[in-house]
Amino acid sequence: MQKVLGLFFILQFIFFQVFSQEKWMKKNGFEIPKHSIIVGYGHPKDTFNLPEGLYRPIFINFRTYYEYKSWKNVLPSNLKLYIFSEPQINPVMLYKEGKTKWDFEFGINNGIQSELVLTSKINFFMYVSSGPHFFSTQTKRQVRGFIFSNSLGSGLIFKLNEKLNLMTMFKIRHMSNANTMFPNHGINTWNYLLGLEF
Amino acid sequence: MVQNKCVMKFYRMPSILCSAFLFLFNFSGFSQSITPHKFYIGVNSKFYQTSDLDKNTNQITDNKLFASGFNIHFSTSLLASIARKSKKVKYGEYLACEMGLGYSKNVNTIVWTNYVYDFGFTALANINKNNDLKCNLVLFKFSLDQILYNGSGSSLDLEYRYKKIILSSSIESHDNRAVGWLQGLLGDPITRPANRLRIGIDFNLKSNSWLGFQYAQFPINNSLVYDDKTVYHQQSEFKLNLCKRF
Repeated sequence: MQKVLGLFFILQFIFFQVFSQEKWMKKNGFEIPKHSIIVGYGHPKDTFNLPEGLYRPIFINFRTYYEYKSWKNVLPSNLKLYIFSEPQINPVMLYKEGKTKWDFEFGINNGIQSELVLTSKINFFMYVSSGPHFFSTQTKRQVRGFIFSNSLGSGLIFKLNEKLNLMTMFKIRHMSNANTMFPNHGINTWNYLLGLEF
Repeated sequence: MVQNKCVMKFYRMPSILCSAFLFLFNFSGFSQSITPHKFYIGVNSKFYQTSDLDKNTNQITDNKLFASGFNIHFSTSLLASIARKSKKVKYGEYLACEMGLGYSKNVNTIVWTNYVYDFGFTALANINKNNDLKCNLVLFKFSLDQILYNGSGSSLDLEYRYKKIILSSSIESHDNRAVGWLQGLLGDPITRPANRLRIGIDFNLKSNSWLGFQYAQFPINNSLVYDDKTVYHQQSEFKLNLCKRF
């Protein structure tokens, strides 16, 4: 029951953050050209394995893009620039010796995305994002709780039709807490994601 | 009208080829100067060698590896782009990524992939019609290319254009973030083997299309120095790319 209530409050907090942010952005000259739902899988690099097991997040992200109206006038026609906000709740598989323990992480990433129009149906994009997160895994490598999640990613966007795009991306992610608590050796993963833009 | 349709059908090219031609030659109205945004598609080849020292017998075993593949690079700066066009010096943030996919072979065949993500600052001076200068100070450089240590590094990149030629150079370090490039310049390259030097030249083909050639060497010094290490890497890399600046 406590877990359900906890999850309810977390969801409420995230949705409150997203919608209040949307209102503020619209007031200050930003448009919302698109949203995306992104799912994916992360895998740790060998040298960054946790002693308690492989840290494998499963991403469930919702991304809202913002475009500043006057940017369109100064940027080349084949280049688009967005700011985005990406709340996420990610179940985490902690795998060791055939056993999987389930944990979770959640938080919000904010970032900048550059998108280049390659052809009428394919765009190439890259982004950088960062934001506060919470993670539940007990590990000797990283103190449990508050953490910053920093991502660099790139990928391709395929236009399916006028309203729907498919995105594929690869991102590297580093999580640590800026030495606010110790131990702080960080958690690093390579991540493969698929998304739908609408 | 009927004739036109027939001609279109007869000469119709595959869409990938069409896109490649459009990419190369169909953009117009852009200047030939160095700009805040760059995109290139390229081919590359790498030669690298790892040398293992057996400390008991003091014998060195060499493993040579050749790799080649394709890579895509995209770099951009929002702030430098929105600076007024009349301004001769533009500056802003710098974000770049490069993804590579290819094939390599030594004893075992392996798939070869790499990535480099850069984040830092850029300054661009459009001096006059014939001269431009650009400097990137990359504070965080995350890379994985099978050679350099994984993790962040830094670099200092310079580009200079004279008429239709761009010369570029870069000193890059994966030893230390944020100031690694400075240590690379000031320190002894023998004791700091993580430094990589890149040089390049780009020729203007048409409008904003460029043909580029790059050479990179890691480490800068060629001699093998082991100190307390038992494994040593050497790498040289060649890149040929078709570049758009916009």
